[in-house]
Amino acid sequence: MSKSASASVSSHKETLQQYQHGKLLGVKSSHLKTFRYVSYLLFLGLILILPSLVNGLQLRLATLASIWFVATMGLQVLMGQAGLVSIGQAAFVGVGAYTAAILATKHGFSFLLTIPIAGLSGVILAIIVGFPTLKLRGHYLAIASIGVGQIILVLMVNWRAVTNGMDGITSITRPVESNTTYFYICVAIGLFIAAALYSLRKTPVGLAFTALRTDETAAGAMGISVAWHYLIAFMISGFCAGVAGGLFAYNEGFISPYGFDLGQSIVLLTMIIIGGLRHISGALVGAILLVFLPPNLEFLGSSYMVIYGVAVLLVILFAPDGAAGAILKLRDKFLRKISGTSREGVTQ
Amino acid sequence: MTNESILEVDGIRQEFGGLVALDNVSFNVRKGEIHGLIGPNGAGKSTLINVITGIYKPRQGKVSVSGTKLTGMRPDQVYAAGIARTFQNIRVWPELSLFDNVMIGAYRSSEIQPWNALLRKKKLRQRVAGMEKATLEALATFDLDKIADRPAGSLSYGQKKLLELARAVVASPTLLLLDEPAAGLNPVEVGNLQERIRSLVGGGTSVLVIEHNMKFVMGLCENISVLNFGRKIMTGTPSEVQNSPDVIEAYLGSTSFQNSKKS
Repeated sequence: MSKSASASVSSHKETLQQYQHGKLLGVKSSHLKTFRYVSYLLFLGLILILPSLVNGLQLRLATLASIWFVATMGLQVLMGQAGLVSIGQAAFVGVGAYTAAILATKHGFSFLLTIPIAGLSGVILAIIVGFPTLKLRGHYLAIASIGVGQIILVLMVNWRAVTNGMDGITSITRPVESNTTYFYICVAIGLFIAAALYSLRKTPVGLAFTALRTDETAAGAMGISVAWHYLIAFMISGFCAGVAGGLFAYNEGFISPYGFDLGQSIVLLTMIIIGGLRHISGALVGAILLVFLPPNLEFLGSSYMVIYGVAVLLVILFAPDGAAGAILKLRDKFLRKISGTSREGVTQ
Repeated sequence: MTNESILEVDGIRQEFGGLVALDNVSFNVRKGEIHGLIGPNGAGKSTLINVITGIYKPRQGKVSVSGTKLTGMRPDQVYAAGIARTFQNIRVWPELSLFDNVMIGAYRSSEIQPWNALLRKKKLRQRVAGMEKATLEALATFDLDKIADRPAGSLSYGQKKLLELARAVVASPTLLLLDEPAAGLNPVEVGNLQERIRSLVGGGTSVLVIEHNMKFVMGLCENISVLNFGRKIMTGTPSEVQNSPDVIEAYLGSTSFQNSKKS
């Protein structure tokens, strides 16, 4: 390399750092940072006071939303980052739920142990399922993931010695009495996993996922081990699903195969598509929307499904980047306004 | 230049269905050499590159680099063995920045594990810093460092070709495979490209280049192998190739012209 090249390295390091903090958006990095901190604080504040603002039913929904947030984050990594379609996520949630439930009720494991083991069960299932199916792509993988989901569902129903069949597993006792505390626990676990996934996305592993999604051949030729990185994404997805399953089992106190069928997989898929495939925050927005909208639209009576369907269609048509994408676009617009810059002016 | 071979292609046969794309193709690229690979459209040049880089598994024959057998390796293993490439139809990641595009070439997955994001952050930062440094140097070599923050999709055709080159050299490969690097470039850009490729060879990289631009190939390469209908016609110096009746026939065609239309 030439001498001038190495001399310019230090100065361009700064340029790149600036870019990572919003230069490309046409936004001053200091504004973006401030906006982030303020919105994080507001969000945390909202979470803290939420239980005192809402009634019991709404708090239950909020807890469910935070549980599905965890499961949907896994789908975000798998689909949104690595580009693999899975319509069997609920089965992974189910395996996590059964693992946690069996360990808690039959073997007396504590919550602190069952939740990580539930996550691990999702990882192990991802490895077992991943070897035969990750050679498939696109529609073929999607169909295979449905098949895997059905196999696991059949196991839950028929392997009575372990799963108790259609009767399910009852009296799973929560580690804490209070609904409020359990809500805080679920949110904390969700945010912890989100933080880990954010920092993973910033490493070259995150770049490799994007590279694989957009051009698998080029990624392979540039030294990215295709199978290994797909397996990583699949394991992360399985882990998130397993943890969500564990939290779900404790939250409900009772689990049966009903909650983990194809329908639930499609609900999880819809969450990440409506929320925004390309953003980890899309999992949060999607989970909130799909948990809170259906019960709150009940006043519409029989036309509820129509309105709901139309709303989903509108989002896909007019906000292909999902609700989170739309929110981030508004944020950038706002920040550009107060920075007094235009997108074009800065990127040139 | 020594007589030591860096790349040995030995008796490669590749079929697609009933079509024989490569038939018993053998040649060597010597260390520190710029080796040209020419032939009419459909002669099997890009297929051969795909065989060398592990995208296709050949029916027969073997490829080795510096004595290491490449046949049977996955593309990422071939890359790790020191062979980088560019593509005939540009394959950059349009939504990623120039920096991120080159960074992927610098990324060694054996050095960064996903759990490093959670644990051992210091080790991760050190390793990423090394990759970032190599990335910026490669971008600077091709005068792309000033626009490193732009998405690759916004680049002009010629700049995308340079970006592919920067991405290919970031891991300091021992052998560089260039698939039509001069296609679509204007004469000034072609001249610049020749200089850049020469300076890469000066830095210790050997090059195998596929190209239709004869002026470019003849001016750049020390040796040229000619393919036609999946068979190697000859390997020789530019002047030997230019004066070979077989090569002239392959390109301008006599009786074989009607056949070449079919492929």
